[in-house]
Amino acid sequence: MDDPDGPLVRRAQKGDRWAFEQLVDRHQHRLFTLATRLLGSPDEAADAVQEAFIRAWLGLSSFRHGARFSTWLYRICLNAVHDQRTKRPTAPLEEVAEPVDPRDQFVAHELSGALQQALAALEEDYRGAVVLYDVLGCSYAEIAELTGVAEGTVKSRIFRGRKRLAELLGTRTERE
Amino acid sequence: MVTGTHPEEVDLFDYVEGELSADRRTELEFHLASCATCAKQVALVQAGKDALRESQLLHLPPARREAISTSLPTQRRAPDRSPALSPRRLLAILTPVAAVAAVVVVLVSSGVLETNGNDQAGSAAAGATSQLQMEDQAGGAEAAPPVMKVAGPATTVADELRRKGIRARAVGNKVEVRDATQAEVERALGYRRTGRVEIVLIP
Ligand SMILES: [Zn+2]
Repeated sequence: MDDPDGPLVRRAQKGDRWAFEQLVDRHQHRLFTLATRLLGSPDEAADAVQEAFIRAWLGLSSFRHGARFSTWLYRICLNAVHDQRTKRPTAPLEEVAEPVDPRDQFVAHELSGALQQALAALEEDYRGAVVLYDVLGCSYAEIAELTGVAEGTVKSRIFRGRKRLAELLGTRTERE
Repeated sequence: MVTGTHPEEVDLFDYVEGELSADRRTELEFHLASCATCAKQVALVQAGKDALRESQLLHLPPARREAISTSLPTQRRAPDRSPALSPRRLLAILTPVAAVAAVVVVLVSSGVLETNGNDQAGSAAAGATSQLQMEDQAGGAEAAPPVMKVAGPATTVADELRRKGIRARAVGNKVEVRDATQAEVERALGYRRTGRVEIVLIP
């Protein structure tokens, strides 16, 4: 399989830390989007993403070319998201004031929106399927591999997830 | 597909995705024209799809991106020899490293520590992990005089350099640049006003 990450992954597997940093740069926002949409909290999501990249770095030797690196990374991220969720409820931490970045405000705005609320109300399997397919553009085969179900089930989850989401959003279905 | 009974869910899905053959598509459209139930399902699925696709990629905050670099242990194990540590063992090792690194990041970003943050994260992490050989990536950085001083924050400057294909990372209030010339850095950041973020070239 022609994986655009292949050359960087090979270098990173030989211990080239810079190559791995390039991979982090390439995938950070997609992993963050995935984790944030699944967890609903940007802080928890950032923790999960950090954990995922550390696990990926340490586990690189177990990655086999032939699979897509991004799929492998998503799987690690999904596991980190799962672990993050099991850590809840977290002990209250003292908030550290960070400089205001317009991109953080954008994330806050996105998460306060109707879409995130509707996503949060979806059944977990449906939420994962629609985020991977519609938000991140994964293929049916990738999602099937990531979630351990048949492609037909993936389609069914996307279908039902979207439908439920539209109902939750109260979308008008009559086309005028 | 029979127009008298409702089509399968997967057919409706493939219809929305435009993945049906022309013949099947025509058949299905014929059914949809006379079946309000299926037509409503299709409309809802399409609306859900539209809502999801309008959502944008969320950006990992730069400080959290830097925290990843800070918390990555420097591995010097050859990939094919020495059996890998078990995930449980790795986690046991990593948890204190990540915690120490996170504390250092917080201290540096909040201005409590003014010195090179990576040095401290590196040595603290090395102390915590005798299993992994750590190396100080920022070694020698302090000695290099800055080639430029620009307005920050450092993480944003490093982000920008990376977007322009230059190896860069923020360390405290400095940005370390590798494999690039002063001219390349100046070209990439030339429009920025002068500030307190120091750009240093690492040989
Ligand atoms: Zn019908």
